[in-house]
Amino acid sequence: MSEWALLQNYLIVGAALFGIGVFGLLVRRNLIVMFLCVEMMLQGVSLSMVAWGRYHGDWGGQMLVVFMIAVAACEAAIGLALILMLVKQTGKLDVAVWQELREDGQPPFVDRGLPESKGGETSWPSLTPAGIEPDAEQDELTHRSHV
Amino acid sequence: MSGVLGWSSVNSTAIPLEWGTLYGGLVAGGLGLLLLPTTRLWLRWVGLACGVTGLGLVLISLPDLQDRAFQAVFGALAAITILSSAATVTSSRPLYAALWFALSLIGVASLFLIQGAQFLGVATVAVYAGAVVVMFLFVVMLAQPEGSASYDRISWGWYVPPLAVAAGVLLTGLVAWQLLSMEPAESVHRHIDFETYDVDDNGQLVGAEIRSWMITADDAEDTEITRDEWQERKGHYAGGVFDKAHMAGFGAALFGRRLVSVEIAGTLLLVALVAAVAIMIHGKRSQEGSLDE
Repeated sequence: MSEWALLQNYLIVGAALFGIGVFGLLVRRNLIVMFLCVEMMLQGVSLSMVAWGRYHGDWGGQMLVVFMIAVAACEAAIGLALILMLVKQTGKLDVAVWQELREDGQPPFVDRGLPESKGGETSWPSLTPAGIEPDAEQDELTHRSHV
Repeated sequence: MSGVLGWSSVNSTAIPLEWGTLYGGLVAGGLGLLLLPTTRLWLRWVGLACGVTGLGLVLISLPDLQDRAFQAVFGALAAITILSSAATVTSSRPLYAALWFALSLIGVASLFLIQGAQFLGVATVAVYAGAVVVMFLFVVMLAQPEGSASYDRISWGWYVPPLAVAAGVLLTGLVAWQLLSMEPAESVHRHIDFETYDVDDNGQLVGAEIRSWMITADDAEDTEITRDEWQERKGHYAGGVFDKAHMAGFGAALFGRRLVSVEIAGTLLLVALVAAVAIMIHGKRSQEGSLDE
């Protein structure tokens, strides 16, 4: 098996993963999906690292990937904590909500023609409560009798 | 370049540039069409067909590995990886995006594994697909319990997806073009520790068993050896798929030369943990403060 061809194959696949990640980061507006796209770019780079390490016959590439995994785990922890905080303030995962942080003089981004949701909203059947609600005994509420 | 489509490059090492860009354009165009709002479902099918065609053409025209079985396995794994990545980017529900990303990670781990990086394959599944994706799923559950919101089905206006496709195609296409038009180096420079290894009059290494090429003694010198010599002496690297010496060599390299880095990475993980907790506590406090006002 030709090592050079193997290196090229892996580099192409890694570049494709990186390209898809860039594409998703630019296009998507959901914070979580953007984060996933960043992780995907990291995966593309990891593939290239391992391929170069094998081609050169040393451990450097794999070492770098190990530390990349560690740093990516840190990044995911902090990033998701920040995302949760942002979502608690606005109730939305949309990045466009935070466009007030843009530079002075930039025009605001306004959504035009939101697609109506098609078949997404399903209404679940619900039962009206019936019968007589039993009186709760005060003992049962305050004590757990069978423990 | 006499063959039809990508078959011409089976014996050469490079895809012709025009074919490469065509394939890349097909794949990326497929992705871009897939991203359009779900109201026009047939366009997504067109995009899927387009993307799959382009991906198949790219996979066919990749450099030949001279090993049919390996090439088939590699092609299947690469197809799984790239298709599930595309599905991650294009699926409108973040929950499905995370699950597709897990599949893509499993594909990457398999690619690591068939290349001989056993530890990284297992670590990717355990750390990424096992821990990080589950963390993402938890956040999706906490932040967006219902399926897909309106901002998941629309991008930044009508002109951003084509521009993003163009950016991705340019980036990937240029990188691929550069990679495929490179030629392998004839010789490699390595640092050789001359205190440990014997060198004969011609400057060739003799005798001693070579354990590592990554030697950085203070008195190391630059030595040029040919690629073949280096290939046959790099047995220590344990690059084989089921090489039993892999873990031993990997551990020796990780906890030998990179020990300080391992310690720093461990400290970094601890700091990140503290930072995440601090962010949550601070956010809770500031929210309570805003409620009081």
